[in-house]
Amino acid sequence: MKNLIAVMMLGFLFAGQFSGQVFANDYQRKSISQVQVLVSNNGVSSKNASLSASLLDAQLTSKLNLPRFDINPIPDAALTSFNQAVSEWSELDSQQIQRAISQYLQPELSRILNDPLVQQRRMGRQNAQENKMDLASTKGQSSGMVLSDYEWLMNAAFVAVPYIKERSFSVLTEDVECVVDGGILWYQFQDDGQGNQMMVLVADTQSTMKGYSSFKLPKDKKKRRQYNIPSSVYRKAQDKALRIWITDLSVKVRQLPQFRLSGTVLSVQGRVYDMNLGVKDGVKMDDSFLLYEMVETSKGIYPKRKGYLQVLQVGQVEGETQSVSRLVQRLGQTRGAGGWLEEYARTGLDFQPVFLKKEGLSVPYQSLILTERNGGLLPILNSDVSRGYGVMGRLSYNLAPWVNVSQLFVYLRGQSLVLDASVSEGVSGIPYLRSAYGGLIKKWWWRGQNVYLGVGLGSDELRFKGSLGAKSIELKARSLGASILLGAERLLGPNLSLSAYAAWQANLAVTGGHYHIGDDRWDWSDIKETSTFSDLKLGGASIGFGLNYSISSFSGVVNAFSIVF
Amino acid sequence: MRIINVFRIGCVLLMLGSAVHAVVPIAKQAVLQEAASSSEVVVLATGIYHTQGTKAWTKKRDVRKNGLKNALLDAKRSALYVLLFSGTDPLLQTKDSELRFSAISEMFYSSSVMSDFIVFEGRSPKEKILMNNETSLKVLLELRINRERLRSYLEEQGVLEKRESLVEKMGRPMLMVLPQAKGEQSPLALLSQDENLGHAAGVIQSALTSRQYEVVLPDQIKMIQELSSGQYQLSDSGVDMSYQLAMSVGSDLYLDYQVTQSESDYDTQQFAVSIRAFETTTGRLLGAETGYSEMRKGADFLSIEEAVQNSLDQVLSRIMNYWKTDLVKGGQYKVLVRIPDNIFDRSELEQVQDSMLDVLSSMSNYTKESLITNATMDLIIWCDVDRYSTPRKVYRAIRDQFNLVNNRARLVLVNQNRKLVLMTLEAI
Repeated sequence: MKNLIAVMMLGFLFAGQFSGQVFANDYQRKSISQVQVLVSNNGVSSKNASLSASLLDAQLTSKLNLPRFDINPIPDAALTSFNQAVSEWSELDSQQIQRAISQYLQPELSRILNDPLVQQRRMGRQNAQENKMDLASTKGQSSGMVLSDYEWLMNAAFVAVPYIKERSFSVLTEDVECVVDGGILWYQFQDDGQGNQMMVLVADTQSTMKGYSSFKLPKDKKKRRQYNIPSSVYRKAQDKALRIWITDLSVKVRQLPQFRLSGTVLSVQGRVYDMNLGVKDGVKMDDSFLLYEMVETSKGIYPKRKGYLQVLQVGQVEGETQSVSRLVQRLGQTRGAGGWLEEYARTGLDFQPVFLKKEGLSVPYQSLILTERNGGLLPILNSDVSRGYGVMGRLSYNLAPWVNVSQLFVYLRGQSLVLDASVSEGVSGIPYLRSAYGGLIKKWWWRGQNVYLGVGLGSDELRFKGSLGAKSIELKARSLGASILLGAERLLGPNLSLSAYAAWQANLAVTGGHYHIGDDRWDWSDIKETSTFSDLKLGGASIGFGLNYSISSFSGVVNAFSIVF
Repeated sequence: MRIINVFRIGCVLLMLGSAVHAVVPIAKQAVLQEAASSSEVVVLATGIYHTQGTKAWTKKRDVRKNGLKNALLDAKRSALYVLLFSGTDPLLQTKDSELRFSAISEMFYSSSVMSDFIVFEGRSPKEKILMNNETSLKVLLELRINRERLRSYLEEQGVLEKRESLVEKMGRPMLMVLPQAKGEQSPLALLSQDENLGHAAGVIQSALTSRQYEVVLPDQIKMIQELSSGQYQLSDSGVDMSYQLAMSVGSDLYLDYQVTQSESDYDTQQFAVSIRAFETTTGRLLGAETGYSEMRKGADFLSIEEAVQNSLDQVLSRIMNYWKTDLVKGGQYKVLVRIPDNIFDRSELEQVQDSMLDVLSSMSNYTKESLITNATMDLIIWCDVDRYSTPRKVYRAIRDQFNLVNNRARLVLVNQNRKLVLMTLEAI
């Protein structure tokens, strides 16, 4: 039954996640040449939105310069002619770009690809993956390239044309939002060996990302009306949007069938697999791979997914010898050698929505008695509150590729709890708790499940927004806290896990807050010597159940998360 | 007699019984990719495993657990099976040898024995395909097999007759290697002018000597020719045509070869080397094969060597087949009798010729007349190797018997080498 559920979830999750082609061969290195990013000023009206194309270009290049590529730069002279041609266009047109590439860049690219030194370098790095047994290798002449090598060399070259087709800015309440919409056009060099060459558009990797930057409006209404948002706020929002746009593109590039890493299963011991890719191909710890085998059906022979694996140990051999990485199978039944592994590139971000219950809160009703201007007392609650129910959203990011510690995550969680409270007569509204915590989590796996331990620091804020008759009431009380998490997850599919956790949290006394009654406001300096907000303890113990979702692309969930929090 | 017949029938039944239980690979598919050296070949073999389970889930589990190991074993067996039974030149070419092999097939196809011949195997299969609703498995495995070691094993097990025994009876075959020349062209001149031809000659000679053939090198012939010319000049006998003829048939067989080059995509070149083997005495073509190299840029010598290796194996196999077949008839010699002008009249000439033919028929197993004219008698004879182990003995027997029955002429030796007996008649 559990296998059936797993298979169903696997199928459901893979639908639409994976773009089509699967290759049974080992990954063959691609030659990449990149032109400077083409920026359209479409949608930009503000003078504050200046963009340094060269700086953006440098950032893009460093992200796209993956170890799996052979970067072959195009000389500036050829790029100048190309850039001049495209700068005269009012709109970006992929067909026009294709013609410009054919006219200005193709001859130069052909010259680079035909250079014997470039060919030897590319063959050397590719041949490291091969087990040669033939006469050429017997005689130590494995660099004697044959027709199939030239076919590959001349048809595995790509030109990347990054572009931004639209940038827009919107002013929200106390935030500036910048939306960047663009992508990368990928053109492949195609040579039939008889002097016929062309550049063909093979992919358009698109991304739309948002960035936010906050500003503080003055309290005075008159000053608020005259307030001009500084240009630095716009620039910051744009920088954030561009940064995440570039990161999203680098993930999407790795998901393209042409650039996805593919390696052979060399041997299997239990659930541990050896694969013929390593650090020089860009494999990193905790990278995900899908296991395939060919299956013969009545309609032909097709690849079939057989499992999901994660990198346990990265093969460290550099240079021109074979590198072997070790992976552990998390989902699927164990298979023998002979299948192949396809990279399943994701962002490294996990999102965990959880429903939770918190106990051990201490919100005495006396601590929420507000003092009015006329000296009157306004109780918000009828009784003490000790529990709440709500939702939590946690974003965690795998640090393994950088720190070389497997399954170490940094997390940021936001939580919203409705207190199980009854408010005083005449008062309308619900008190709730909002939290923001950050910390580290370490997971330990066994097959398709794990347990994890985490620590974090953050703050909780008790809030209330309601009214008493015609008077509006709003309050906020903040305290700092530390938490320890203990949880468990069970993989349902490569992207999805069932999750359960428990957390213990200890908080300091309230360190800040304010409240409004109508147009009157009391700040922390007014409150701290009073009994309002005193004895509030916002810590406690929580248990929660939910899901853990590994994000394949930065759009969607992340944008929603950034809006909410 | 009856007991002997019963014994013979029993042996046949025993062998047949063994054949019934002989281990046979399931796939029996393999492709010879190339000759990696003079003794090793690279083979891409298919292996298949069918599960033994009953229910669908047990079958699939069996394939997962045991499928790969057994399919790889079947691939190794298939590779060896193809070398033994299939292709243009299988190792087992007669029914007898196949029957003898079936008696040892179970032992032969065991992993321990096969590992002696399999020099290298791919770390993982090139392809792995699940079939029949994942209840069967097919793999493609690349292997490098030492064919010479395989042949030696079969000889030790009595499946193949030992080549050593043939060599001892017949003497080691002497081979000459020359490039194909057209018309008036001199093969020796071609060798010195074309470095590709020179390299091909070197590769062929290297392969032949590694298999312990005697190789006559064209450059050595030229040296000896120069020496011989010097000797005959001292005796004032002028250029000796018979000597030149004797040199051209000094080898048992000769190989000629041709190297051609063709252009392909991406400015790559492919070399093709055609090798032909001839019986020197008759000029009969024994076998021909063309080998091709990979299409590559540069590395011409490597490509030539690759093409040579891919063709030479088959040609040598044909040579050995010819050699074994010829052994049945006996030692072969070309007998040339030169009849000088004007020493016999017509009737005497015919008498002499008849006497010669009678003598040759009586002292040989078989004779074959190639040409009989007034000036020349050109015949091929096959003699019992035990009685006539050297050409000298052949000549002595012909001379003694002819001189005994004929009082009009006597037989005199002009020249003799391991394949040729050149004689002339003198009037008494």
